[in-house]
Amino acid sequence: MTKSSPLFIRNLFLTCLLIISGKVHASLDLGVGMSSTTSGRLVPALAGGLYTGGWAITGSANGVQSGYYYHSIYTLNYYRTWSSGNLLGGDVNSGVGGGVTYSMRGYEDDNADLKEAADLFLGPAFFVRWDFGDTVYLNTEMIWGLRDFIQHVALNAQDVIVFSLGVQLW
Amino acid sequence: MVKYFAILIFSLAALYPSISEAKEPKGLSLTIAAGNNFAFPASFRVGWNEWEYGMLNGRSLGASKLFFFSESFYTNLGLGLIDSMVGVTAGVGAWIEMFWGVAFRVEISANSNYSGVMVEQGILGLSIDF
Repeated sequence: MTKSSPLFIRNLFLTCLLIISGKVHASLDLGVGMSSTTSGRLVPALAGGLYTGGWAITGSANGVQSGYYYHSIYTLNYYRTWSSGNLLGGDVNSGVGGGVTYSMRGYEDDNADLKEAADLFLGPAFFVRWDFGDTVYLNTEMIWGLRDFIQHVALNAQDVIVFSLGVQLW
Repeated sequence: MVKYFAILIFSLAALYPSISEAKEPKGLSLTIAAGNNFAFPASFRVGWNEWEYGMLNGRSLGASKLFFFSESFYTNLGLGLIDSMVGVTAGVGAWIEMFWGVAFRVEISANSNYSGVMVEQGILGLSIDF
């Protein structure tokens, strides 16, 4: 036996597992879009995800920077997913789960020190994704930030929406 | 409290999606609902089968298709005018039958238009199946 045998055996085991596990739906997607954290400005966001037949992990990143300030926002979500149906010839997939958003920002005025702050919030999340063509999709996802109770009572929220157009890489 | 309740319900429902028991909307329906800050009416929809048309929420006017994933819960996806510009609306909601075709309705949606405006909207109201 050579030193690489354990690796070979593991790969063989995984291959057999895939063969006997029936149909496997998985895709790795990458897109660009917008985030509500920079709502009203066309600041591009990078968004992507790993989707399987029953769950998905998605994430996004976007930010702005000038000579006076910066703002960076990152999201990470986990969803239970299912196939919802069909819309105008394209498949619609949905999911509900949870997500986390991390936001960093800084501001520096003339003759003043840099002031920085960061926010972290998490909450339930959902996505609705429309696949059209073979590999192109439109995706809307949203995290309900659970922070200020009074605002939730008024049906207002501290939410993050990410809208993206992307392609299925694999 | 309403929104926490809705989020809890959605989260629990999502753990057990039962597509085989999903509601299949048939025929005509009407929905009227309050929205953010309980503005009323924030939504007035005319439904035909799984499609709904009209004022979807306080910021969106258009058409949306419902995709039920259980007897009472759905996601939706539609196209319309978000703040007077073309955009996409997507949401998750509950349509809970009560009596005589009247249903309790709650929905939270994400609305995005092509100019980069993205807003969350909630609705809380009633639907009637005819």
